[in-house]
Amino acid sequence: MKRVSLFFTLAVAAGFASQAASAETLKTVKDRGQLSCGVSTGLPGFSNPDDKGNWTGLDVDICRALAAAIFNDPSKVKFVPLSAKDRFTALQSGEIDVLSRNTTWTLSRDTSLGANFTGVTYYDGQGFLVKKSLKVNSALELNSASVCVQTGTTTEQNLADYFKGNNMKYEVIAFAGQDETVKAYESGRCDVFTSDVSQLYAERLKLANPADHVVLPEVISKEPLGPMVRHGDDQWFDIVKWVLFAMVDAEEMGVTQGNVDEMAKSDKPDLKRAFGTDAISASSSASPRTGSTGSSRPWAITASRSTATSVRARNCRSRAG
Amino acid sequence: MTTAPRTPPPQFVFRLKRALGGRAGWGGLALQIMFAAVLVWIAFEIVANARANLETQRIISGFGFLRNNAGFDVSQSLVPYSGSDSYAWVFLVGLLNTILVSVIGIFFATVIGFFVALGRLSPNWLMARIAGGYVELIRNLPLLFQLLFWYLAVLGALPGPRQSIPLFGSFLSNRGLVIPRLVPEAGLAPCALALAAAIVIALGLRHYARRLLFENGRAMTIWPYVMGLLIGLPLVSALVFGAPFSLEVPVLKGFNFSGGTRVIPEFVALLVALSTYTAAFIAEIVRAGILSVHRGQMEAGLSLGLSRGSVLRLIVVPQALRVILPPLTNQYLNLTKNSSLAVSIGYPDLVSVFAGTALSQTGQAIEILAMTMGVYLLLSLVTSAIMSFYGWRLGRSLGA
Repeated sequence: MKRVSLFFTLAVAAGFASQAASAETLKTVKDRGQLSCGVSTGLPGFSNPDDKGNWTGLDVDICRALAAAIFNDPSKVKFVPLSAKDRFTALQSGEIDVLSRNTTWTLSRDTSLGANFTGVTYYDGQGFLVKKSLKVNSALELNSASVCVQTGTTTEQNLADYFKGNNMKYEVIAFAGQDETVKAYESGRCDVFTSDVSQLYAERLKLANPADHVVLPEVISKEPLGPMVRHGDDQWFDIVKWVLFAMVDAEEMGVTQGNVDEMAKSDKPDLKRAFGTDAISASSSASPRTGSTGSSRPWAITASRSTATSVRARNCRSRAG
Repeated sequence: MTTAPRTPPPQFVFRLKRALGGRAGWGGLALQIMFAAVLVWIAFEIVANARANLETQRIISGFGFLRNNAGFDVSQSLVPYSGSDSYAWVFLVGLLNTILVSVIGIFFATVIGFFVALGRLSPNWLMARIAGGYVELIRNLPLLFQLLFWYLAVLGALPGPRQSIPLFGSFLSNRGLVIPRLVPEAGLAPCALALAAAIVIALGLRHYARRLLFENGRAMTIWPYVMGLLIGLPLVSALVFGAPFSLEVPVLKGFNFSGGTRVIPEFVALLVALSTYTAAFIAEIVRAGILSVHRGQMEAGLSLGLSRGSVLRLIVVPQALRVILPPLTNQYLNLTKNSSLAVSIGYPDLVSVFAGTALSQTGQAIEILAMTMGVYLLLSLVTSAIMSFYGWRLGRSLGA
């Protein structure tokens, strides 16, 4: 009996001792047959599941484009819903290959978490949602207010900085989840709900009576959102980065899901270069599908086709929500 | 009623020893040392491996972050705190909030639990049924559900601060209970002295009354004198030297009340949920303990002419405590650990502010989670040490 347990502990110890492979994410993804993509637990416009479990949104499209670029099949994605708190640990531990979850690019996150931001998908900023009945027109009138905020975000620090900087007092109530935060705001525990403006509009639509609530004009922070990958795998970093840039480029050139096949046949030199139908790009080593023969269509085309919505269109902040 | 503790049969001890791998002589010792060495090696490997992986991924590790500015605010703090304090200070703020709700929760859970147990054992049919219903209802519903119920359904239904309910200079609203704050005045020192004097005299009186009881067999009712002393002396001092405190009454200013002391609804919801939930388990433990004391004890006490309450207090409960204490300790530990559910209703406990906000701001998951786990471990060990000490003293006084 004892000998068995001793053997078992030795085996466990050996398991711990083996180093986790940090590089070669692309190989891991290909071997697994699908991309593991960290998204939010539900934020309309970014990553939101419908009642059938289909994910939609900008962050989700990044994942789909990546899968399309790697597998030529945008459906080969496993979406991993993560809370704000758990997202970096999931990336660090290798549970996900890329984090595409409305994450703000900050110095400390880029330098101390062992992760890299690959680019900006959306320029957001922090704002305030209040009830119209309070008759507040500016965030500067919020002295002594109670503020609901979701914990585990950059929001809490920005909030503290803003109120301190303007010599205003406030009370902060921080909740673990977005839903609880909004519920507390709705029940009147707080006067104000603060978050990134994009989220404020999304959450306002979910409230019982959206017209009774108003987003104040002040945007108190700069929140560039973007996908994140693990540090130390340059190849994977390049792939995620350039799939994103290819989508931005495609949009600038007017390439959409509808016309991509037509545009790919175009004779325009810039389009040819973008689609890689000219000689230089086709031999580029940055292609995520190098090694997978049989598919002559360059990866940028599949990436463009797979995403229903375009990146830049979402970047124009819509005040209507 | 001291019965000698039953020693387990030697056959059983022998079997147990063999099952655990105990062997006589040098062979056994060598095995023990080998086993210990393997454990140490595993621990070393885990730490070394984590370090190496952090290094290769360029994740900054170590406890240097504790000196950095936290930069966020907290809704309730027992020590002065602002956003410009360090993460180490945030740790303390969260820790104190956890201890606060645990200690007060343990107190209320014990009191409610004892009364529910006595109610369940009471010969009064209605009372016994109500107490039984309480236990069955509360202990069979998930704690998180009860927490959300108290927070969202009960306290959330209170009116906003502008329509708050006035209660004797206090105000009750969905922002919590704002009570007038006591501001120390010049009369505080003489008043404190008067109170101390009253306590000393009261203790002397108690001593005298006990001697009277034991030597002359004459019972003396002293509590009216004691109450008179405790209230009267400070009152006289207040009349002579001036009031010890002045009241700072809260006023509605802007969105919230300013002035006064505020009890936040998150704290109340957490406290109520934790105390009532744990009380249901404690009630069953206490009931089991009391039932474990032989009926004859109760009957003997009653036939001596003691009241039911006195029999319970002097005879039954002290004997029952020996059975109650170990599982009661478990419940105290559970309550402390369950307090980490606070994060779901926004009470700033250790898990919420330190393992939540501080973790996501710094990304130092290993360090912060290790510290947090260490705290819960330490709190649990301290609680069980206190309870063991109490049990040891109790055992000595019962002569067991």
